Amino acid sequence: MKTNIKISARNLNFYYGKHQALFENNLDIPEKKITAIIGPSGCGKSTHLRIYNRIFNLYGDQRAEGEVLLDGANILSPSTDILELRHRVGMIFQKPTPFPMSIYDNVAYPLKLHYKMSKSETEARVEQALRHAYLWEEVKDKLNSSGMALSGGQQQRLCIARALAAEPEVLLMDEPTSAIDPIATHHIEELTMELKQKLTIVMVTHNMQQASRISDYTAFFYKGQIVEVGETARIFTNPTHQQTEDYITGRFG
Amino acid sequence: MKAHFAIELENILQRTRVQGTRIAEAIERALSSFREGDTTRAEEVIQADKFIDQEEIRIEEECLKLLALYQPVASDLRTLISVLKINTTLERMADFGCHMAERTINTARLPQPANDAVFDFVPMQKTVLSMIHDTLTVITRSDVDLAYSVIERDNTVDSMRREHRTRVQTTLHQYPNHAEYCLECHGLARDLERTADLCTDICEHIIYMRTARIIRHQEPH
Repeated sequence: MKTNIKISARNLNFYYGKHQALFENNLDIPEKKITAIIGPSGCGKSTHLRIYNRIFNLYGDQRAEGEVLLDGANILSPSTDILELRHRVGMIFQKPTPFPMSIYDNVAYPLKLHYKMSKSETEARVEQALRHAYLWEEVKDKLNSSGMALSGGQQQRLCIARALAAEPEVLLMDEPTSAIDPIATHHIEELTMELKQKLTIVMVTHNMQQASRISDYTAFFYKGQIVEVGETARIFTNPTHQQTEDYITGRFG
Repeated sequence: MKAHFAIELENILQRTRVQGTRIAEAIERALSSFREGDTTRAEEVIQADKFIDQEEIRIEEECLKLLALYQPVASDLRTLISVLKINTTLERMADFGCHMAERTINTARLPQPANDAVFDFVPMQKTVLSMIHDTLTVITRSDVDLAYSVIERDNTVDSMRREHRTRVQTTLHQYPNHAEYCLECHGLARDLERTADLCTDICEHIIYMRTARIIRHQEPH
């Protein structure tokens, strides 16, 4: 069965001011699959990921060159509607980022931003998103409590619920489990596996076992370049490049 | 952390090499005991197999420990999985050595057959022993070319075994009173042929370890 390509980075270069961080990145992200991006610190994984929803635009001296095609349309084009792009491409960060408001309002926030819906519709969608993120049972009796009062793992699932409420097509995850314990990590990983039935996931991770456990494809970055991309099972049993082999077996440097 | 893994993996490889040498010696001693009708040596081979069995378990436990503790990937994973399989295969080779030693004991109590009924195992033994020794070299040096050459020699052993079978049938007709002896010789040819098969298995594991290619059940190289 042929896999559709959801996102396609073409000859992508990225600069922090005068410093070039990414060099001629070419990467296809298959639809409704999990693609893991791995590589040593500072290799450009997060930089690459942050281009997909143009979150880098928040900082004035950062720029991207090349193309990033989302369903064939270049999102780097000046005419891209940024709000609409971030509606379609959600993001989860390393540290949970609940807004300083109630659990309910956290999840309702994107609904108010992107949709006009009645109170009862909003309530239904909030519940649906919380259920989807496997958080509903834990918070259903305290929806008005602050999102900041939840545990780290719960906060991260709250952020996922908030991202899911907007019904994105793509979910970017930047080391989503590096700040939470193994049980919460397990929850998030299980959730991620479920989510790929509906959306495309790109995950930056430092955790090799996590990449090998849950991803379908793996891309190895080194010094801003993409060294190797392939099916995860192949990368972790028979990498083609020595650098990939050295990195995943822990013999780097 | 990874340096520790490398050291432990090398320890396992070294133990596997030593185990291989131990087994090659056992098979050589079993074959010479058969040739010379030396039942004492045959008994020694059978006794020594207990240690080989124990060592197989210890090597397996070490492999499982490394898998659980380090969760290796890529060439590390292939090496560990290959060693795990080679370890089991070597132990089965040792079992065939024991079978050969048992045949020495079984044939010693039989009446001596006429000269033209005695089977000549020398060519087959030579080929199989060369395969065993080269297999040990393949394990030590991870030598893929030598591995393929061992695998090719398996065909020679197969045809030698078929010739033995024909010879056994003829001799059985000619000397029906030596039927038991003929059957033991038939069994020895089978043990040798199976030992050669196990050598090819080990070589296939080494080829996988080095190249990530699974070549068994496929057309010859």
